[in-house]
Amino acid sequence: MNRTFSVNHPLLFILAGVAVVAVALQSVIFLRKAWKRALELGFSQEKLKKLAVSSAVFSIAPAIAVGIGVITLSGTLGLPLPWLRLSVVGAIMYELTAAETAASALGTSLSSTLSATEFSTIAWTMTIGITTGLILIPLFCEKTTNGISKIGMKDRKWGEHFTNALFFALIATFVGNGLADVTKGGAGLVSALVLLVSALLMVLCGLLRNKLGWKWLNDYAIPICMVISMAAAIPFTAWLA
Amino acid sequence: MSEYTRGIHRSGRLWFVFAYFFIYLFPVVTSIVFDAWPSWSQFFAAAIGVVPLYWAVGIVEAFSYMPMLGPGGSYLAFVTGNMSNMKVPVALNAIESAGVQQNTEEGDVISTISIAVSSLVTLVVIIIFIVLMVPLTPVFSSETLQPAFANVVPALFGGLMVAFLSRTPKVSVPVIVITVALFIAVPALKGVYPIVLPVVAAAAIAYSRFLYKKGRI
Repeated sequence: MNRTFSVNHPLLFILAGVAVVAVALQSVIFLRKAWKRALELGFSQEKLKKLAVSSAVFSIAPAIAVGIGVITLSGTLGLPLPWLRLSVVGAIMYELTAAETAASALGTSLSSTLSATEFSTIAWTMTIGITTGLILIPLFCEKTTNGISKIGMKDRKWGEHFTNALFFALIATFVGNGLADVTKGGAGLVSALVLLVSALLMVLCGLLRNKLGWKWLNDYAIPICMVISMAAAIPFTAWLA
Repeated sequence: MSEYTRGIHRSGRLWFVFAYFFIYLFPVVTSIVFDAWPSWSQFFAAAIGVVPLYWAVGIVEAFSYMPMLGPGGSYLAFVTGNMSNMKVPVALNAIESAGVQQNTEEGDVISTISIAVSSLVTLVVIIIFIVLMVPLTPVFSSETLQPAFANVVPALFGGLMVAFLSRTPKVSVPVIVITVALFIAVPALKGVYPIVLPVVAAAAIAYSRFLYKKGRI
């Protein structure tokens, strides 16, 4: 079968669409299971609703960044492949680099028109590159998470310190990563300033919550910090460029 | 292990098989229908630049994130993707504002709910982008807005850092200060941060253990 290839062929939309529907279904099923279990564990319906709303609000700005990633890649790769890769398993930073690297290894670039074979080579590379983590989760998730909860059961207090240490390491690594290029000026300095503004706003939110008793801020503090500090990147860039 | 957790492991594994199937269906069907199987030489040329690094990152991410996200959160987050720029921060934020501990079932249900909601929001936003691509493209790809969306990760982690600092500052402050100093001293680490993460985690756990044994935290 050799049909006329197009990066936006309807068949490709169907393939991507089916996968996206499957992932949406999994999210809904897991959401229902966890919600039911949370009620059994004594969380109130109201608290869970607040959690869901604040998680949704939290996700909008990062989701827009992902949407922009799809649009960026769609110029060359069409819509279906970036749609699939960024909705299932992928992440913006990986997929953009993977597509770019694969294209340049083929002696083409993401700014030229791809042949069917070039397109399929890029699709294979992106797919195989990203799926390692996936193999490990079903194999090791039970062992790893049981191990961690055993630490907690043996010594509750140390269990808390143990997971907190993991959180600190994660946050420290991302903060460090955000500040790595600070001395180079330009975009590196803008990222550092964005991080600083977000941190200061969080301090301010904490003060407002404690001094004025604005409890609702608890749920929306991070989205507020995120959106304002992202917006601040615009004048910072204009100023430093 | 509770019946709930057992069930999550069971269905989590099953969904992974589905996810794998659908992910690979795309390149397989594309290659068959358009008669476009890559030649081995082309495939190796493209894969060599991507696969080894991504596998290393994938392995490290899997083991770093599983303990933080819990079983339900992990199965869902790894399938839906966008971990560090969305799923991990959203789960951390939910755990922090609900005041639960991650290594408990309470922590896991909270992390699962936040990740599920976040995935659904992302799927909807992406579909909106695709449908409204023509009017939206000039707005979001404008030079003016570009810096805002290039800085999602620092914007997220600045606030999260402050939220988490107050949990045992004796550990969090030195861990963050030393790690940041390390990144500024060796900016090349920026590209390989997922590999730095387990090293920092091991050091943070060791230091925490030391203070705990001494009775200082």
